[in-house]
Amino acid sequence: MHPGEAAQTLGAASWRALGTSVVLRVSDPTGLAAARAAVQRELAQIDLACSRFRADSELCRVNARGGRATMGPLLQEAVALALRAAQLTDGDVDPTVGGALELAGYDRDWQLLAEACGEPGPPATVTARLRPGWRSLELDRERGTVRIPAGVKLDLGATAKAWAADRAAAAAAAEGGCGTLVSLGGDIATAGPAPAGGWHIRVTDDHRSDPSAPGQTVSIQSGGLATSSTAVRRWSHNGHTMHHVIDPRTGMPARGCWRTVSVAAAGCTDANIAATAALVRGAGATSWLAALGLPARLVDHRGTVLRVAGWPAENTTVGVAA
Amino acid sequence: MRLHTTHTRDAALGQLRRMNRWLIAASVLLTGAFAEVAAHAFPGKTIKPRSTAGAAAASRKAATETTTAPLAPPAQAPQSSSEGSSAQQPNSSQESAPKQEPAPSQQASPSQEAAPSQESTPSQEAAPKQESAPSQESSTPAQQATPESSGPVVSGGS
Repeated sequence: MHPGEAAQTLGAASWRALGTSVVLRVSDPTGLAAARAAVQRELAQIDLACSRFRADSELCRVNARGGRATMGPLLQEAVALALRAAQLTDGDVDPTVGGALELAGYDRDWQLLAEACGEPGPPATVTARLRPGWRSLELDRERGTVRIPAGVKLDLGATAKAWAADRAAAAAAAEGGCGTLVSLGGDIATAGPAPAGGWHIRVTDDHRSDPSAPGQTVSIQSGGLATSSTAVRRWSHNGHTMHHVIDPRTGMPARGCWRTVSVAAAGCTDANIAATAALVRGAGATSWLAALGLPARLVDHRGTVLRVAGWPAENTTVGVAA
Repeated sequence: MRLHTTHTRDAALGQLRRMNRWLIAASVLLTGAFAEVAAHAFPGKTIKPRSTAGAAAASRKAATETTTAPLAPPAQAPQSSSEGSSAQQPNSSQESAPKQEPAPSQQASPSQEAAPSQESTPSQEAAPKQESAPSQESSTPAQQATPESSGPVVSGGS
């Protein structure tokens, strides 16, 4: 908190959904119950539409069917966002990596995967790779259909969670009648008026970390902030260490120079798209983020921190322009 | 007889020429007439494909327009905050100087983070000691009013 600012009492709640942790903060505690109900409703709807790990989800049905499939409005929007992400990142963020993720062993909810990986499997080399490409998808918004080529499986993980945070924050602010912050596994969206001094956020490698973990604390007044990292969701598959950020060009986990990238944007969806793309893009990410005017903090595998496009230096109020 | 035969032949040829002209003119007129009649008789067959193509093109255009909105920067860049900062994070007196950040697995050397043999396994990652947030959560949702000084929200990889 900045000197001279009075402490403001916030409402807070946390629980688990979408296979990750949910943190809700509201600027007015009296609006907490309504805000939480709104968040839970939004997340339940998106989970049912977009989850890759629920057999009864709409996405699983579309993936299983292949070819041209009809979708509900929510999944249509999610697929459109995923295609937008692919377009804006030149394919660094690609929704057709679902098959590659399954080949890499990420074929179930993260908690179940972590338990299964406790049992060592026979070492082998992963050679099968799928690189269908997002351009192979045909989305018809008018008819509400998508055509998926044979063998392609959609994964909306790079965009749907952040999008869910945006939607949940907006719904919570509307129904709670106050400023809200929603964090879904570290993807943070805000809506409504921020508390005095802004929303305080600790950026670090792992969203499950304690706020004292190595990193930096910043405050935002609006918009979203997302962090992508290859230091989390790592698992062993056939003797290889994998992580969940897939480079669409290789179909394998990204091997870029960045360990963790945090990006602030007008919304959490855009922030997460940029952060994930930066991990895949590697060294070229800094100039790309600077050109877009997206404040970002990038940490490489040696722990070196770079800041671009106005991301502040620690404990100062002056940003650093790339 | 011969003159009569020649005259009759010329007259017949003249009639044939006229008939041919009329037939050609009539066939052109009838072709146009039939085309017009057919066009009006099956308007759906003629117009619908053009309309569908136009709609599809418009749809593609609309999809393109909605999917190409650029990544939007925030209205205001994040500000540095001392909230929740730890003693492990020294202040950066020189903004352009990159700082070194410890690896998440608390390894002694940051360079060890890049070595595959030192990478954490899922079981290590799922260890309760490293999962601060889930361990604080109960099976029933926690809900409380808390002062802002209770700490910042953590943004990290997930």
